[in-house]
Amino acid sequence: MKLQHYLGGLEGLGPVTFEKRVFVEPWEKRIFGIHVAMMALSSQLPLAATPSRFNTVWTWADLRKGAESLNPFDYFKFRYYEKWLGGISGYFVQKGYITEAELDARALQILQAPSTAATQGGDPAIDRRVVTYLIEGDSPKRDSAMKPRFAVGDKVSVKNVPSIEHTRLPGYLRDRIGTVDIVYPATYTYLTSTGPDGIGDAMPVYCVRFDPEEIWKGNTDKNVAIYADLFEAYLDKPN
Amino acid sequence: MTTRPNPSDEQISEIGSDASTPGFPGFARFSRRNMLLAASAAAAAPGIGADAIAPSAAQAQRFEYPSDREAKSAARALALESLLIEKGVITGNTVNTVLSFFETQMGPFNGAKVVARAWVDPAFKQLLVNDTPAAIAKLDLPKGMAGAEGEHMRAVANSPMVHNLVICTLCSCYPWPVLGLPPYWYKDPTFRARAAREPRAVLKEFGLDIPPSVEIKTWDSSAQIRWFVVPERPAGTDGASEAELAKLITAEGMMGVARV
Repeated sequence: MKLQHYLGGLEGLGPVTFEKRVFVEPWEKRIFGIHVAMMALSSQLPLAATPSRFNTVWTWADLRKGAESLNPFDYFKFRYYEKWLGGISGYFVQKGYITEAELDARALQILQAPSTAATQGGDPAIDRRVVTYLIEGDSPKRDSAMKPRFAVGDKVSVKNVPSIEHTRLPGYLRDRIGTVDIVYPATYTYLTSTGPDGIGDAMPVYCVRFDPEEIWKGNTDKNVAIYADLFEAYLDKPN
Repeated sequence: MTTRPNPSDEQISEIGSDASTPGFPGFARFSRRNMLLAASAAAAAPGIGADAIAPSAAQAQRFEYPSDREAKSAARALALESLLIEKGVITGNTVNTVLSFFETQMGPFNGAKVVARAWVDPAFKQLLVNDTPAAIAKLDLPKGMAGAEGEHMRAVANSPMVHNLVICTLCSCYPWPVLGLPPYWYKDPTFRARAAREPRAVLKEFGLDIPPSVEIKTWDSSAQIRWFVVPERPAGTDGASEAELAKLITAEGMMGVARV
Protein backbone atom coordinates (compact mmCIF):
# COMPACT_ATOMS: atom_id res chain seq x y z
CA MET A 1 0.00 0.00 0.00
CA LYS A 2 1.04 3.55 -0.64
CA LEU A 3 0.29 6.13 2.01
CA GLN A 4 -0.50 8.64 -0.74
CA HIS A 5 -3.51 6.50 -1.76
CA TYR A 6 -4.79 6.47 1.82
CA LEU A 7 -4.62 10.14 2.77
CA GLY A 8 -8.37 10.47 3.39
CA GLY A 9 -8.95 10.12 7.14
CA LEU A 10 -5.29 10.07 8.19
CA GLU A 11 -5.06 11.30 11.77
CA GLY A 12 -2.63 13.29 13.86
CA LEU A 13 -1.75 15.89 11.25
CA GLY A 14 -2.51 19.11 13.11
CA PRO A 15 -4.06 22.26 11.72
CA VAL A 16 -4.50 23.01 8.03
CA THR A 17 -2.48 25.86 6.58
CA PHE A 18 -5.02 28.23 5.04
CA GLU A 19 -2.67 29.51 2.34
CA LYS A 20 -4.83 31.07 -0.37
CA ARG A 21 -2.09 31.72 -2.90
CA VAL A 22 -1.78 29.39 -5.90
CA PHE A 23 1.98 29.93 -6.15
CA VAL A 24 4.14 30.84 -3.18
CA GLU A 25 7.42 31.21 -5.10
CA PRO A 26 7.83 32.74 -8.58
CA TRP A 27 9.58 29.61 -9.92
CA GLU A 28 6.45 27.54 -9.24
CA LYS A 29 4.69 29.39 -12.07
CA ARG A 30 7.36 28.25 -14.51
CA ILE A 31 7.03 24.54 -13.74
CA PHE A 32 3.25 24.83 -13.86
CA GLY A 33 3.46 26.40 -17.33
CA ILE A 34 5.81 23.65 -18.51
CA HIS A 35 3.38 20.99 -17.28
CA VAL A 36 0.44 22.56 -19.16
CA ALA A 37 2.56 22.78 -22.32
CA MET A 38 3.48 19.10 -22.01
CA MET A 39 -0.17 18.10 -21.63
CA ALA A 40 -1.09 20.26 -24.64
CA LEU A 41 1.73 18.92 -26.84
CA SER A 42 1.26 15.31 -25.72
CA SER A 43 1.33 13.02 -28.73
CA GLN A 44 -2.01 11.23 -28.16
CA LEU A 45 -4.12 14.41 -28.53
CA PRO A 46 -5.98 14.90 -31.84
CA LEU A 47 -4.62 18.44 -32.27
CA ALA A 48 -2.73 19.94 -35.22
CA ALA A 49 0.95 18.93 -35.34
CA THR A 50 3.48 21.63 -34.45
CA PRO A 51 7.25 21.92 -34.90
CA SER A 52 7.69 21.07 -31.20
CA ARG A 53 10.16 18.27 -30.57
CA PHE A 54 7.86 16.90 -27.88
CA ASN A 55 6.74 13.55 -29.26
CA THR A 56 5.76 11.48 -26.24
CA VAL A 57 2.73 11.18 -23.97
CA TRP A 58 2.39 13.30 -20.84
CA THR A 59 -0.93 13.48 -18.99
CA TRP A 60 -2.14 14.03 -15.45
CA ALA A 61 -1.67 10.30 -14.97
CA ASP A 62 2.09 10.68 -15.47
CA LEU A 63 2.30 13.55 -13.01
CA ARG A 64 0.16 11.69 -10.46
CA LYS A 65 2.17 8.47 -10.87
CA GLY A 66 5.29 10.41 -10.01
CA ALA A 67 3.78 11.79 -6.81
CA GLU A 68 2.24 8.43 -5.89
CA SER A 69 5.58 6.64 -6.33
CA LEU A 70 7.42 9.00 -3.99
CA ASN A 71 8.72 7.88 -0.67
CA PRO A 72 5.79 8.90 1.57
CA PHE A 73 8.08 10.96 3.79
CA ASP A 74 9.14 12.94 0.73
CA TYR A 75 5.50 13.27 -0.27
CA PHE A 76 4.82 15.17 2.94
CA LYS A 77 8.14 16.93 2.99
CA PHE A 78 8.02 18.54 -0.42
CA ARG A 79 5.66 21.33 -1.33
CA TYR A 80 3.19 20.71 -4.17
CA TYR A 81 5.25 22.27 -6.97
CA GLU A 82 8.49 20.82 -5.63
CA LYS A 83 6.99 17.42 -6.39
CA TRP A 84 6.13 18.67 -9.89
CA LEU A 85 9.65 19.98 -10.47
CA GLY A 86 11.15 16.64 -9.47
CA GLY A 87 8.70 14.57 -11.51
CA ILE A 88 8.78 16.69 -14.66
CA SER A 89 12.58 17.06 -14.68
CA GLY A 90 12.84 13.32 -14.18
CA TYR A 91 10.52 12.67 -17.13
CA PHE A 92 12.54 14.84 -19.53
CA VAL A 93 15.73 13.07 -18.47
CA GLN A 94 14.16 9.61 -18.64
CA LYS A 95 12.76 10.23 -22.12
CA GLY A 96 16.08 11.57 -23.37
CA TYR A 97 15.03 15.17 -24.12
CA ILE A 98 17.77 16.42 -21.80
CA THR A 99 20.47 14.81 -19.70
CA GLU A 100 20.69 15.13 -15.96
CA ALA A 101 24.25 16.41 -16.37
CA GLU A 102 23.18 19.33 -18.57
CA LEU A 103 20.30 20.18 -16.26
CA ASP A 104 22.67 20.19 -13.27
CA ALA A 105 25.26 22.23 -15.14
CA ARG A 106 22.70 24.81 -16.30
CA ALA A 107 21.17 25.07 -12.83
CA LEU A 108 24.62 25.65 -11.33
CA GLN A 109 25.36 28.30 -13.92
CA ILE A 110 22.10 30.07 -13.03
CA LEU A 111 22.82 29.84 -9.31
CA GLN A 112 26.16 31.51 -9.91
CA ALA A 113 24.62 34.23 -12.11
CA PRO A 114 21.11 34.68 -10.70
CA SER A 115 20.11 37.33 -13.23
CA THR A 116 20.23 34.76 -16.05
CA ALA A 117 17.12 35.08 -18.23
CA ALA A 118 15.38 32.22 -19.98
CA THR A 119 16.23 31.59 -23.60
CA GLN A 120 13.88 33.17 -26.14
CA GLY A 121 12.57 32.16 -29.56
CA GLY A 122 10.61 29.28 -31.02
CA ASP A 123 7.70 28.69 -33.39
CA PRO A 124 4.44 30.40 -32.29
CA ALA A 125 2.45 27.44 -33.64
CA ILE A 126 3.57 25.61 -30.48
CA ASP A 127 1.96 28.24 -28.26
CA ARG A 128 -1.20 28.27 -30.38
CA ARG A 129 -1.62 24.55 -29.76
CA VAL A 130 -1.17 25.09 -26.03
CA VAL A 131 -4.02 27.63 -26.02
CA THR A 132 -6.17 25.36 -28.20
CA TYR A 133 -5.72 22.56 -25.70
CA LEU A 134 -6.75 24.81 -22.81
CA ILE A 135 -9.87 25.89 -24.69
CA GLU A 136 -10.87 22.48 -26.05
CA GLY A 137 -9.79 20.26 -23.17
CA ASP A 138 -9.52 16.49 -23.42
CA SER A 139 -12.80 14.88 -22.46
CA PRO A 140 -12.66 11.22 -21.39
CA LYS A 141 -16.38 10.81 -22.20
CA ARG A 142 -17.11 8.07 -24.76
CA ASP A 143 -20.39 6.87 -26.18
CA SER A 144 -20.67 3.18 -25.65
CA ALA A 145 -23.25 0.41 -25.78
CA MET A 146 -22.04 -0.70 -22.35
CA LYS A 147 -24.92 -0.70 -19.87
CA PRO A 148 -24.25 0.46 -16.33
CA ARG A 149 -24.24 -2.46 -13.91
CA PHE A 150 -25.78 -0.40 -11.08
CA ALA A 151 -28.72 2.00 -10.74
CA VAL A 152 -29.42 4.97 -8.48
CA GLY A 153 -30.18 3.71 -4.97
CA ASP A 154 -28.26 0.44 -5.36
CA LYS A 155 -25.93 -0.58 -2.57
CA VAL A 156 -22.41 -1.19 -3.88
CA SER A 157 -19.32 -2.54 -2.22
CA VAL A 158 -15.97 -1.04 -3.10
CA LYS A 159 -13.34 -3.55 -4.18
CA ASN A 160 -9.88 -3.59 -2.72
CA VAL A 161 -8.17 -3.77 -6.11
CA PRO A 162 -4.40 -4.25 -6.40
CA SER A 163 -3.22 -0.72 -7.18
CA ILE A 164 0.44 -1.07 -7.97
CA GLU A 165 1.50 2.17 -9.59
CA HIS A 166 -1.50 4.46 -9.83
CA THR A 167 -5.16 4.48 -8.83
CA ARG A 168 -8.23 6.70 -8.75
CA LEU A 169 -9.74 4.77 -5.86
CA PRO A 170 -9.30 6.60 -2.54
CA GLY A 171 -7.91 4.19 0.04
CA TYR A 172 -10.44 5.05 2.76
CA LEU A 173 -13.27 3.72 0.59
CA ARG A 174 -11.82 0.29 -0.05
CA ASP A 175 -14.04 -2.56 1.22
CA ARG A 176 -16.74 -0.06 2.22
CA ILE A 177 -20.41 -0.12 1.28
CA GLY A 178 -22.00 2.93 -0.37
CA THR A 179 -25.17 3.89 -2.22
CA VAL A 180 -25.25 4.96 -5.86
CA ASP A 181 -26.33 8.60 -5.99
CA ILE A 182 -25.70 9.41 -9.66
CA VAL A 183 -25.15 7.18 -12.69
CA TYR A 184 -23.24 9.48 -15.03
CA PRO A 185 -24.44 9.37 -18.65
CA ALA A 186 -22.21 7.54 -21.19
CA THR A 187 -18.84 6.01 -20.28
CA TYR A 188 -15.44 7.42 -19.39
CA THR A 189 -11.90 6.41 -20.16
CA TYR A 190 -8.98 7.11 -17.88
CA LEU A 191 -5.77 8.71 -19.15
CA THR A 192 -3.79 5.50 -18.91
CA SER A 193 -4.33 1.87 -18.07
CA THR A 194 -3.76 1.32 -14.37
CA GLY A 195 -3.21 -2.41 -14.96
CA PRO A 196 -4.61 -4.70 -12.26
CA ASP A 197 -6.10 -1.63 -10.57
CA GLY A 198 -8.64 -1.83 -13.39
CA ILE A 199 -9.29 1.50 -15.11
CA GLY A 200 -8.32 2.93 -18.51
CA ASP A 201 -10.91 1.62 -20.97
CA ALA A 202 -14.27 3.39 -21.25
CA MET A 203 -16.68 2.30 -18.53
CA PRO A 204 -19.59 3.71 -16.50
CA VAL A 205 -18.77 6.02 -13.61
CA TYR A 206 -20.94 6.57 -10.53
CA CYS A 207 -21.20 9.09 -7.78
CA VAL A 208 -21.46 6.97 -4.64
CA ARG A 209 -22.59 8.22 -1.23
CA PHE A 210 -20.92 6.93 1.92
CA ASP A 211 -21.72 7.40 5.59
CA PRO A 212 -18.50 8.49 7.33
CA GLU A 213 -19.80 6.86 10.53
CA GLU A 214 -19.45 3.48 8.78
CA ILE A 215 -15.92 4.30 7.65
CA TRP A 216 -14.56 5.86 10.86
CA LYS A 217 -16.96 4.56 13.51
CA GLY A 218 -17.24 6.87 16.50
CA ASN A 219 -14.44 9.02 15.12
CA THR A 220 -15.99 11.34 12.59
CA ASP A 221 -18.17 14.44 12.48
CA LYS A 222 -21.93 13.99 12.74
CA ASN A 223 -24.48 14.81 10.03
CA VAL A 224 -22.00 14.44 7.19
CA ALA A 225 -22.18 12.52 3.92
CA ILE A 226 -19.22 11.87 1.67
CA TYR A 227 -19.57 11.43 -2.07
CA ALA A 228 -16.93 10.01 -4.40
CA ASP A 229 -16.88 9.51 -8.16
CA LEU A 230 -15.95 5.90 -8.79
CA PHE A 231 -15.27 3.92 -11.96
CA GLU A 232 -17.37 0.77 -12.34
CA ALA A 233 -14.27 -1.44 -12.17
CA TYR A 234 -13.95 -0.45 -8.51
CA LEU A 235 -17.47 -1.55 -7.57
CA ASP A 236 -19.21 -4.82 -6.85
CA LYS A 237 -22.53 -6.07 -5.56
CA PRO A 238 -22.36 -6.44 -1.77
CA ASN A 239 -22.27 -10.05 -0.51
CA MET B 1 7.78 -0.52 -13.15
CA THR B 2 9.13 2.92 -13.74
CA THR B 3 12.77 3.11 -14.63
CA ARG B 4 15.04 6.01 -14.01
CA PRO B 5 18.31 6.98 -15.61
CA ASN B 6 21.42 5.56 -14.03
CA PRO B 7 23.29 8.26 -12.24
CA SER B 8 27.02 8.38 -12.85
CA ASP B 9 29.34 6.66 -10.36
CA GLU B 10 30.24 10.03 -8.98
CA GLN B 11 26.60 10.80 -8.33
CA ILE B 12 26.06 7.42 -6.72
CA SER B 13 28.84 8.09 -4.24
CA GLU B 14 27.27 11.45 -3.55
CA ILE B 15 23.59 10.60 -3.36
CA GLY B 16 23.28 6.83 -3.30
CA SER B 17 20.88 4.85 -5.47
CA ASP B 18 17.47 6.24 -4.85
CA ALA B 19 15.12 3.35 -5.48
CA SER B 20 12.44 4.95 -3.34
CA THR B 21 11.84 7.81 -5.75
CA PRO B 22 11.81 6.36 -9.26
CA GLY B 23 11.78 8.97 -11.98
CA PHE B 24 12.63 11.74 -9.55
CA PRO B 25 16.32 12.45 -9.93
CA GLY B 26 15.69 15.99 -8.74
CA PHE B 27 14.66 14.70 -5.36
CA ALA B 28 17.81 12.75 -4.73
CA ARG B 29 19.59 16.07 -4.61
CA PHE B 30 17.20 17.43 -2.02
CA SER B 31 16.71 14.49 0.19
CA ARG B 32 19.09 11.60 -0.20
CA ARG B 33 21.83 13.01 1.96
CA ASN B 34 19.40 13.68 4.78
CA MET B 35 17.92 10.24 4.40
CA LEU B 36 21.34 8.61 4.71
CA LEU B 37 22.12 10.74 7.74
CA ALA B 38 18.81 9.72 9.25
CA ALA B 39 19.44 6.04 8.52
CA SER B 40 22.89 6.08 10.05
CA ALA B 41 21.65 7.93 13.12
CA ALA B 42 18.84 5.39 13.52
CA ALA B 43 21.25 2.47 13.09
CA ALA B 44 23.49 3.89 15.79
CA ALA B 45 20.58 3.92 18.22
CA PRO B 46 18.60 0.73 17.70
CA GLY B 47 17.04 0.68 21.17
CA ILE B 48 13.77 2.10 22.36
CA GLY B 49 12.79 3.73 25.65
CA ALA B 50 15.70 5.85 26.85
CA ASP B 51 17.17 5.84 23.35
CA ALA B 52 13.91 6.84 21.69
CA ILE B 53 15.16 10.36 21.23
CA ALA B 54 17.70 9.15 18.67
CA PRO B 55 15.20 8.04 15.97
CA SER B 56 13.30 11.26 16.45
CA ALA B 57 16.50 13.25 15.96
CA ALA B 58 17.08 11.18 12.84
CA GLN B 59 13.61 12.02 11.68
CA ALA B 60 14.24 15.69 12.30
CA GLN B 61 17.34 15.49 10.12
CA ARG B 62 15.38 13.74 7.44
CA PHE B 63 12.92 16.60 7.31
CA GLU B 64 15.57 19.26 7.38
CA TYR B 65 15.56 21.56 4.36
CA PRO B 66 18.70 22.97 2.82
CA SER B 67 18.98 26.71 3.38
CA ASP B 68 19.17 27.33 -0.36
CA ARG B 69 16.01 25.32 -1.01
CA GLU B 70 14.14 27.95 -3.00
CA ALA B 71 17.18 29.26 -4.87
CA LYS B 72 17.97 25.73 -6.03
CA SER B 73 14.42 25.04 -7.14
CA ALA B 74 14.26 28.37 -8.96
CA ALA B 75 17.54 27.61 -10.73
CA ARG B 76 16.41 24.11 -11.73
CA ALA B 77 13.05 25.39 -13.02
CA LEU B 78 14.75 28.09 -15.10
CA ALA B 79 17.41 25.66 -16.30
CA LEU B 80 14.73 23.20 -17.39
CA GLU B 81 12.68 25.89 -19.16
CA SER B 82 15.76 27.21 -20.98
CA LEU B 83 16.88 23.76 -22.11
CA LEU B 84 13.38 22.93 -23.36
CA ILE B 85 13.31 26.17 -25.38
CA GLU B 86 16.78 25.54 -26.83
CA LYS B 87 15.81 22.00 -27.81
CA GLY B 88 12.61 23.14 -29.53
CA VAL B 89 10.19 21.49 -27.09
CA ILE B 90 8.51 24.75 -26.07
CA THR B 91 9.06 28.38 -27.07
CA GLY B 92 10.34 31.37 -25.15
CA ASN B 93 6.70 32.49 -24.84
CA THR B 94 5.03 29.21 -23.90
CA VAL B 95 5.08 29.52 -20.11
CA ASN B 96 4.02 33.17 -20.22
CA THR B 97 1.22 32.26 -22.65
CA VAL B 98 -0.10 29.70 -20.17
CA LEU B 99 0.16 32.08 -17.22
CA SER B 100 -1.53 34.89 -19.08
CA PHE B 101 -4.36 32.54 -20.07
CA PHE B 102 -5.04 31.83 -16.40
CA GLU B 103 -4.84 35.51 -15.51
CA THR B 104 -7.38 36.58 -18.12
CA GLN B 105 -9.42 33.63 -19.45
CA MET B 106 -9.69 30.90 -16.79
CA GLY B 107 -10.08 32.03 -13.22
CA PRO B 108 -12.41 32.58 -10.27
CA PHE B 109 -13.69 35.73 -12.03
CA ASN B 110 -15.69 33.37 -14.29
CA GLY B 111 -17.13 31.35 -11.42
CA ALA B 112 -18.08 34.58 -9.67
CA LYS B 113 -20.19 35.61 -12.67
CA VAL B 114 -21.86 32.20 -12.78
CA VAL B 115 -22.77 32.33 -9.08
CA ALA B 116 -23.93 35.96 -9.24
CA ARG B 117 -26.29 35.05 -12.07
CA ALA B 118 -27.59 32.12 -10.01
CA TRP B 119 -28.29 34.50 -7.14
CA VAL B 120 -30.42 36.84 -9.25
CA ASP B 121 -32.09 34.26 -11.52
CA PRO B 122 -33.69 31.22 -9.83
CA ALA B 123 -34.33 29.48 -13.18
CA PHE B 124 -30.64 29.83 -14.04
CA LYS B 125 -29.69 28.44 -10.64
CA GLN B 126 -31.93 25.42 -11.21
CA LEU B 127 -30.35 24.83 -14.61
CA LEU B 128 -26.86 25.31 -13.15
CA VAL B 129 -27.44 22.50 -10.68
CA ASN B 130 -29.25 20.22 -13.16
CA ASP B 131 -27.07 20.78 -16.22
CA THR B 132 -24.01 22.81 -15.28
CA PRO B 133 -22.39 23.08 -18.77
CA ALA B 134 -25.69 24.20 -20.35
CA ALA B 135 -26.12 26.94 -17.76
CA ILE B 136 -22.53 28.15 -18.09
CA ALA B 137 -22.85 28.21 -21.89
CA LYS B 138 -25.65 30.78 -21.54
CA LEU B 139 -23.28 33.38 -20.08
CA ASP B 140 -20.92 35.63 -21.98
CA LEU B 141 -17.69 34.10 -20.67
CA PRO B 142 -14.32 33.53 -22.40
CA LYS B 143 -13.89 30.58 -24.76
CA GLY B 144 -12.90 27.36 -23.04
CA MET B 145 -15.59 26.96 -20.37
CA ALA B 146 -15.68 23.25 -21.24
CA GLY B 147 -11.93 23.18 -21.80
CA ALA B 148 -9.05 21.76 -19.78
CA GLU B 149 -10.22 20.52 -16.37
CA GLY B 150 -13.71 21.79 -17.09
CA GLU B 151 -14.85 19.10 -19.51
CA HIS B 152 -17.32 17.73 -16.96
CA MET B 153 -18.16 20.24 -14.26
CA ARG B 154 -21.03 19.99 -11.79
CA ALA B 155 -22.31 22.64 -9.42
CA VAL B 156 -23.86 21.88 -6.03
CA ALA B 157 -25.85 24.57 -4.21
CA ASN B 158 -25.72 25.39 -0.52
CA SER B 159 -29.03 25.89 1.30
CA PRO B 160 -30.07 26.58 4.89
CA MET B 161 -30.01 22.81 5.48
CA VAL B 162 -26.99 21.70 3.40
CA HIS B 163 -23.41 22.92 3.17
CA ASN B 164 -21.22 21.53 0.39
CA LEU B 165 -17.45 21.08 0.52
CA VAL B 166 -15.26 20.04 -2.41
CA ILE B 167 -12.07 18.06 -1.84
CA CYS B 168 -9.68 15.82 -3.77
CA THR B 169 -8.04 13.30 -1.46
CA LEU B 170 -5.90 11.72 -4.19
CA CYS B 171 -4.48 14.86 -5.82
CA SER B 172 -5.81 18.35 -6.59
CA CYS B 173 -8.66 18.09 -9.15
CA TYR B 174 -10.16 21.55 -9.55
CA PRO B 175 -12.58 23.16 -12.06
CA TRP B 176 -10.11 25.34 -13.96
CA PRO B 177 -12.47 27.26 -16.29
CA VAL B 178 -14.59 28.66 -13.45
CA LEU B 179 -12.07 28.72 -10.60
CA GLY B 180 -8.64 28.86 -12.21
CA LEU B 181 -5.87 27.11 -10.33
CA PRO B 182 -6.13 25.51 -6.90
CA PRO B 183 -4.82 27.50 -3.92
CA TYR B 184 -2.30 25.87 -1.59
CA TRP B 185 -4.76 24.95 1.15
CA TYR B 186 -6.68 22.76 -1.31
CA LYS B 187 -3.51 20.90 -2.32
CA ASP B 188 -2.28 20.54 1.27
CA PRO B 189 -2.13 16.84 2.26
CA THR B 190 -3.33 17.82 5.74
CA PHE B 191 -6.48 19.42 4.36
CA ARG B 192 -7.10 16.50 2.02
CA ALA B 193 -6.67 13.96 4.81
CA ARG B 194 -8.71 15.75 7.46
CA ALA B 195 -11.57 17.16 5.37
CA ALA B 196 -12.69 13.61 4.54
CA ARG B 197 -13.11 12.51 8.18
CA GLU B 198 -13.77 15.74 10.07
CA PRO B 199 -15.00 18.42 7.65
CA ARG B 200 -16.79 20.30 10.44
CA ALA B 201 -13.61 20.65 12.47
CA VAL B 202 -11.60 21.74 9.41
CA LEU B 203 -14.21 24.30 8.37
CA LYS B 204 -14.20 25.70 11.91
CA GLU B 205 -10.44 26.23 11.62
CA PHE B 206 -11.15 28.11 8.40
CA GLY B 207 -13.56 30.33 10.33
CA LEU B 208 -16.75 28.67 9.15
CA ASP B 209 -18.87 27.32 11.99
CA ILE B 210 -21.51 25.09 10.40
CA PRO B 211 -24.35 24.39 12.88
CA PRO B 212 -24.81 20.69 13.79
CA SER B 213 -28.29 20.77 12.22
CA VAL B 214 -26.84 21.60 8.79
CA GLU B 215 -25.73 18.55 6.83
CA ILE B 216 -22.26 18.73 5.30
CA LYS B 217 -21.88 17.05 1.93
CA THR B 218 -18.26 16.43 1.02
CA TRP B 219 -17.48 15.77 -2.64
CA ASP B 220 -14.25 13.85 -3.26
CA SER B 221 -13.19 14.54 -6.86
CA SER B 222 -11.86 11.12 -7.81
CA ALA B 223 -12.95 10.68 -11.45
CA GLN B 224 -14.04 12.96 -14.32
CA ILE B 225 -16.29 15.44 -12.51
CA ARG B 226 -14.91 18.76 -11.33
CA TRP B 227 -17.24 20.05 -8.58
CA PHE B 228 -17.87 23.58 -7.41
CA VAL B 229 -20.23 25.13 -4.89
CA VAL B 230 -22.93 27.76 -5.33
CA PRO B 231 -22.76 29.51 -1.96
CA GLU B 232 -25.80 31.18 -0.44
CA ARG B 233 -26.41 34.80 -1.26
CA PRO B 234 -25.41 36.89 1.74
CA ALA B 235 -28.04 38.81 3.67
CA GLY B 236 -28.27 42.53 3.06
CA THR B 237 -27.45 42.41 -0.66
CA ASP B 238 -30.96 42.92 -1.98
CA GLY B 239 -30.15 46.15 -3.78
CA ALA B 240 -26.86 44.91 -5.27
CA SER B 241 -26.45 44.52 -9.01
CA GLU B 242 -25.22 41.26 -10.55
CA ALA B 243 -21.82 42.85 -11.15
CA GLU B 244 -21.61 44.03 -7.53
CA LEU B 245 -22.59 40.57 -6.30
CA ALA B 246 -19.88 38.96 -8.44
CA LYS B 247 -17.27 41.00 -6.61
CA LEU B 248 -18.25 39.34 -3.32
CA ILE B 249 -17.65 35.81 -4.55
CA THR B 250 -14.32 34.11 -3.83
CA ALA B 251 -12.68 30.87 -4.90
CA GLU B 252 -12.89 29.75 -1.25
CA GLY B 253 -16.65 30.38 -1.27
CA MET B 254 -17.00 28.26 -4.40
CA MET B 255 -15.10 25.35 -2.80
CA GLY B 256 -17.17 25.53 0.37
CA VAL B 257 -14.54 26.66 2.88
CA ALA B 258 -15.72 30.26 3.28
CA ARG B 259 -18.99 32.07 3.51
CA VAL B 260 -19.57 34.78 0.97
